[in-house]
Amino acid sequence: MESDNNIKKFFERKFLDAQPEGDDWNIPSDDIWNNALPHFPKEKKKKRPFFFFLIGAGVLAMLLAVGLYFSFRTDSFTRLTTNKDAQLSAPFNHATNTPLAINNTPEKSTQNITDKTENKTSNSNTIVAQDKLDLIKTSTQNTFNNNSTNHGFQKKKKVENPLIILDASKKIKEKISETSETSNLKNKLGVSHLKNKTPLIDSETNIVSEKPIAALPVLFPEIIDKNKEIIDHQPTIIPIKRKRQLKKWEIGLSHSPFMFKWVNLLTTDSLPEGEELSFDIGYKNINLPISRRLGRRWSLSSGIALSRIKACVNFSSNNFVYDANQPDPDWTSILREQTNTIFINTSTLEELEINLSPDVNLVDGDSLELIGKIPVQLSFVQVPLILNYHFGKKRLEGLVHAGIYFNYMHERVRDVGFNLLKEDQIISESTNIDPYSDNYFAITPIIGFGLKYHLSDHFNLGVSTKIELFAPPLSRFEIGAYYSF
Amino acid sequence: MNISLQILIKDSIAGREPAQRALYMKYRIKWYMQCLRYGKNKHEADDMMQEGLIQIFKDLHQFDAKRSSFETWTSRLISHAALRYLKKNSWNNAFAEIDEANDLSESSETIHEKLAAKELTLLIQSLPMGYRVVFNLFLEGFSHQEIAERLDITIGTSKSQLFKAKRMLRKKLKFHLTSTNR
Repeated sequence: MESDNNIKKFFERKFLDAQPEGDDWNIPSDDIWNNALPHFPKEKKKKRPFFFFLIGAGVLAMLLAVGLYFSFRTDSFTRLTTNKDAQLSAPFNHATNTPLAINNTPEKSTQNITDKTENKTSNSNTIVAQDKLDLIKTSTQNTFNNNSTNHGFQKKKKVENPLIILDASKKIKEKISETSETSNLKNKLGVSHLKNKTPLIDSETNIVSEKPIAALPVLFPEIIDKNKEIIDHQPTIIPIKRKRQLKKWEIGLSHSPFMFKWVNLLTTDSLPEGEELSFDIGYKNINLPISRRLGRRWSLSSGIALSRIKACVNFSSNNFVYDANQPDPDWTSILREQTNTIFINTSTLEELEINLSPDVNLVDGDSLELIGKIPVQLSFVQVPLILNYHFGKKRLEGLVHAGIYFNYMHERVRDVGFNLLKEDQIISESTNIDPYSDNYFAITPIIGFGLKYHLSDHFNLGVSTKIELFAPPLSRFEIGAYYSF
Repeated sequence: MNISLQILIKDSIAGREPAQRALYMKYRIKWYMQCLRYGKNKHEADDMMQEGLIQIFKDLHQFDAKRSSFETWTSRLISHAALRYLKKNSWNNAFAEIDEANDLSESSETIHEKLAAKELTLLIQSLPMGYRVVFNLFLEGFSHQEIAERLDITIGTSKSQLFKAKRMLRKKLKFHLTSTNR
């Protein structure tokens, strides 16, 4: 058995690391390659970069158009939910010099409520502005912002009942101004669930304050029936301190000042003594995100990100000793091993050849040094499709991202240079390697998390980290400013 | 598996010819020497190599670095292609009993003088086909059961062929082995 193993080991040793030999007995002829090549998988047709740009631009244009359409499609009732807008657009009772109230009655039919309000036109404290009512009816017939709590996502709700307009009489305003009676009032109005929301009335102007306000919730028919007095004196606009409003759309501008940890992906460890590998890296990036709220907690982001990485791989090794009895080393393989980086398509270096200058005479045992540089430029366009989860109620908001990036990359390698040196003198002939460029399209999954600080309803600042789960290693840290609408 | 090889494989799967060629250039000698050991001569080895190459690049997407090294995986494909070639062309009586005395085509004296890879390959080529195939599979790490399954022979036949192959080789290498052990 031992001799069996000896035979096996003997043969394995002999066949291991077999090198080309002088008479080419173990080198397959070119015919083999040429005959086999037609049967290999073929590269698909070149991607049409312009086509992808067109698709991307089209998608963005559509998103923008949809966003703009919805943002300008705000009806008068929605505008009443903000203080200034409310003052500007709320109906006004010229007789009493006070704004008119606007409420809706989802439970009752249009006709009933209108009748009730019409019946009260004889009451001096109640005026129905029928012409303005008609106008608002028309403008809010289709959509209506259910603003009962007025914080969180404002869900569009279709309502069948139109509005009624009531006067905000002095009597009820005085009641509201007395803070001790505020809770009673809210109970009577059926809005006691609005905890910690103090209605604010300016005693001078009898209506709104400078603070953001919200329209009162629905004036329920039951309340109308049970509280005639309140009906008669029902104020229509009561300012309520509210939380941040969420907007449907958000656009922004962000920048990744650096890509973190990606250098670690370049294999630099376990280099033998005498070998060095270094990288010079430059990085530029700009992101134009756009996102759409899908609810209080969720949003969908897209946009476009443009980045460019310039890297130069520098290497040197002085571990080579000239052996007159051996064929020349396979410099290409050596180079590949030493520039073990994923940014370089090493097949580019196939044409790499190193030749000694004709006047150089090497003798057995001469120490040689191999030095070189490979400049690589990677430009890429990314279109993300990311689902975001939002948490946090106040100004500071946390986000968790998950989604995919559509990457279109352009890789370019040029001005590759390398030389053999003996005693610091270049002994190799200059080499010319054709510039190399290639385009890739890839889809990569990403995850991430971030923070946003809301300066106002419309503006916020954010930071986030997004990590791509596969190569290319585009994990990065983003900082940006965003506008919501 | 290093990243260079990963990239070459990935690009080869994508059909990029430079990568395919680079991969071929990197392993061609190992693959070809394996074919030379299976074939009776260079012509047969060329045919095996061509079939093996096509097989490797067609099946490259199936390569799983977690299950085996690239060299092992390609070696198996080459041996598979070689066996397919042999079965197709010269399989008759491959495992018939052979009068070994008449098959020692090269004198031991010649063998002793040149025991480089080339000569050893020639030595293996000089073995009868049954011995040669079983011995090559044995070198590649196959068990007798696997050899038997691949060649459609019994485990006993595999053992017998290997024993005889080694005995024949041992005769030719006796001088070398004894001098090495000293």
